[in-house]
Amino acid sequence: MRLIWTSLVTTAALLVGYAIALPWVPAAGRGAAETGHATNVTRLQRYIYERLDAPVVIVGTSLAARLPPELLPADAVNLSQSGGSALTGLRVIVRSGAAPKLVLIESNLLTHPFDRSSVDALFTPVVSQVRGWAPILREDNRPISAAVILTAISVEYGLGRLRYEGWLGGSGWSTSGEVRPASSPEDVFGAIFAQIEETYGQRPSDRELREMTGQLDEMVGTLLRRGCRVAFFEMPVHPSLISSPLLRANRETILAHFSDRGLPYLTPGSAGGLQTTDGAHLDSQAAAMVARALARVVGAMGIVTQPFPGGGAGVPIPETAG
Amino acid sequence: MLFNSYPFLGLVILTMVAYYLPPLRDWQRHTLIVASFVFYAANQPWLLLLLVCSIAVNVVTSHFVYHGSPPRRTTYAALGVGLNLAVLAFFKYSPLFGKSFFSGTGSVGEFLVSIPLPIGISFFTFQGITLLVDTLRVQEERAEFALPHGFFGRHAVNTTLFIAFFPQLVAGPIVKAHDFVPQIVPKFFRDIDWDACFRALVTGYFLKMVVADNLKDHTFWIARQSFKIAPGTDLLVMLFGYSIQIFADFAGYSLIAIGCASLFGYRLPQNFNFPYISRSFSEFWRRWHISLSSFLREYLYFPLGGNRRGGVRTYVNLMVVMLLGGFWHGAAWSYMVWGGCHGVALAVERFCGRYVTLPDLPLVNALRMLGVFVFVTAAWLLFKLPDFSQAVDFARAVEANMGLPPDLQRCFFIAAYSVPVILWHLHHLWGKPVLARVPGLAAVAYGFMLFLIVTNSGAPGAFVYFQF
Repeated sequence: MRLIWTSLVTTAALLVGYAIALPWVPAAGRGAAETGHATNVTRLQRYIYERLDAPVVIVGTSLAARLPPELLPADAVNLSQSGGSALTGLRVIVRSGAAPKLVLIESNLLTHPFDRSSVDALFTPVVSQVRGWAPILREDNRPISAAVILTAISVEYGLGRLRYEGWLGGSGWSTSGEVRPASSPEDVFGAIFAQIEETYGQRPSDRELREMTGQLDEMVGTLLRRGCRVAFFEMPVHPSLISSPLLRANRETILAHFSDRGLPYLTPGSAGGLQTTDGAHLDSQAAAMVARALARVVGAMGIVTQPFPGGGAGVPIPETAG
Repeated sequence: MLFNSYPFLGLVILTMVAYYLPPLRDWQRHTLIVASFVFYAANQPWLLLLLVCSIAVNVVTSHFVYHGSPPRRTTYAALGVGLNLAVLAFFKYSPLFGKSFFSGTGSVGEFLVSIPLPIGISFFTFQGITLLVDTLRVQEERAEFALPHGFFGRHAVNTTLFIAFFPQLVAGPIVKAHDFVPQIVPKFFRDIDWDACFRALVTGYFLKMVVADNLKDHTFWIARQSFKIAPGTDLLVMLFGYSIQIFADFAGYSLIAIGCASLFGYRLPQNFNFPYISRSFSEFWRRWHISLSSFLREYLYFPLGGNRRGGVRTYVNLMVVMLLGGFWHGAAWSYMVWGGCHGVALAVERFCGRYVTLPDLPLVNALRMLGVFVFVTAAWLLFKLPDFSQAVDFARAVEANMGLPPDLQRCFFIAAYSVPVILWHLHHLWGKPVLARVPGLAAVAYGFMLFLIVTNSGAPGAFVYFQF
């Protein structure tokens, strides 16, 4: 038993030591999530521990996750989950007891199941409270992540200097013009686009649509009872996907189901062309345009937030091209 | 129910309380059986029916093997083994046969493809086989250990516990009847070896939650389309990381199972013994997934004649065992190819070993270890990419993309999470266990692992071997 007690004391000492040292960890190493999942969890944890009073909350998938935060209203929170479901963020808002002024729900892939394990982990009794007052237990303060990110930054900086000073003679790991990947990026993204077209080409089953509306009913109903406003929005995608069976089924089901409650449904308009990286995800420039448009929509809905980057009347979300 | 989940923690604590309560001591086996059924039914309750049916088949057939008339015992045993294999074949391989031999769109093909894979079926059917074979051997060889026969009810309870015991139900270690059944006796709280349980559980959870769960979020790109344009260095580092991940995942699971079983007074066999320091392929298979290797050796290789029927037959036996061992891992032809690769490696090694004896020098040994590790790691590609053509594309991409600049951050993360496994192997390799010699150092090491479990666990994921 001595081994056990000594180990537990060591663990406690390390936790206390890390808690004391954390404020001195360079900013570049803190808050940097190392994977997509870590980014998702970090977003959710920051929301429930630090920004529960945010007046505007966006929930979505990897499509809306690309919206640059600096172009959204300053006090808006984006809970979109890369590789996940909009229902995950929605579930978190409901379980946290928050009552934002406006909840924007990305409707593209609403039939994706929500990440039950992440949501449960976020609200595990006791653990959740402990995480609330002990930031060292949060996703964005993982010690190995911080150490590795800082090391990688240092090495990249060092390599950059060596290259700059000529020690690596311009070679090293820099790309020479002769390197040709096994497949061209166009081929790979073409293959990914084909997969996406296949996914969007499949209409969700009636059971999936029923489950989706059932969950939305429950969660949207709860939010409306709390006094929140709720709106659905479609992230722009490649023109060939706009009328795909998947998007059409989602759109028609939501419109049919929620139209009697007067919930706005924002669809991409025709204000200009946008580029995607793979047919579904916007490139950074296009994501910035959509973020600005969403900010204006929020303003047009009369939701008072911190200063808008754009301002003015609501502008339809532009459509994509290519 | 995952080992790394709060419901599992709750189940273990509740079961322990009931298990060790003096008034319930006579019901210890029943307590464990109930806990095991709850554990198994947590995600897919209806699959519990299959487990119960499998247990019933083994209870009845092993009873007849033990009590049946001598000429019929072998028939009963063969019937039981056949039923176990039939259940395994139906649930595990039907989708593969549906895809391979039917169009997949017809009613038969669709039916076969839609059959679900019950979790742990590969493990509990093998345990049923060990029960039947061991029972037959007890009767035929008059072996000393006694299976709990006689009173049918007691036999049924013991057999149910043997097959369904929750720490090893879904992913092993595969326990043999002659190792486990004699352990079914009343257990006492005071007999728990707490230090051993603690070591196994902390190391197991560390390997799973800190090493494997974090590595999986960096290595999953191997199976994405975009690997074709990823830098060659990244691809090699990711493959290396996957090799460490699959070890940490399965060794971690096995250690948790061993530690958890110890809490209830049962010893499960060691499943991993530092496999990545192996100097030969035969040594690797004595160190990797030991319970499966020893099962295949004892219940397949030896009955086939092992190495006692001449050179050619030995090689044939080796190939048969490795091909079937590979096929056991998954319902895809690539798993059989994977087994075949290891079979060929074992055969070549055996053949060369007759003519060449390598000197026992540190440098030679290090090169041998490196060679085995590189081969084993390359072969894991068939685990990650069951579509054979993708594995070939991967190899091409490594070669073609080698000049692209690597993603340092990704490489560093994989290296950082691999360090504990490498150190663990090296610590064992040096033969001078520092942790045992420096007082208090072991406690600090376990304390540090606990610290990382608390602060740096990855996203919980199912164990890799659950799919088998």
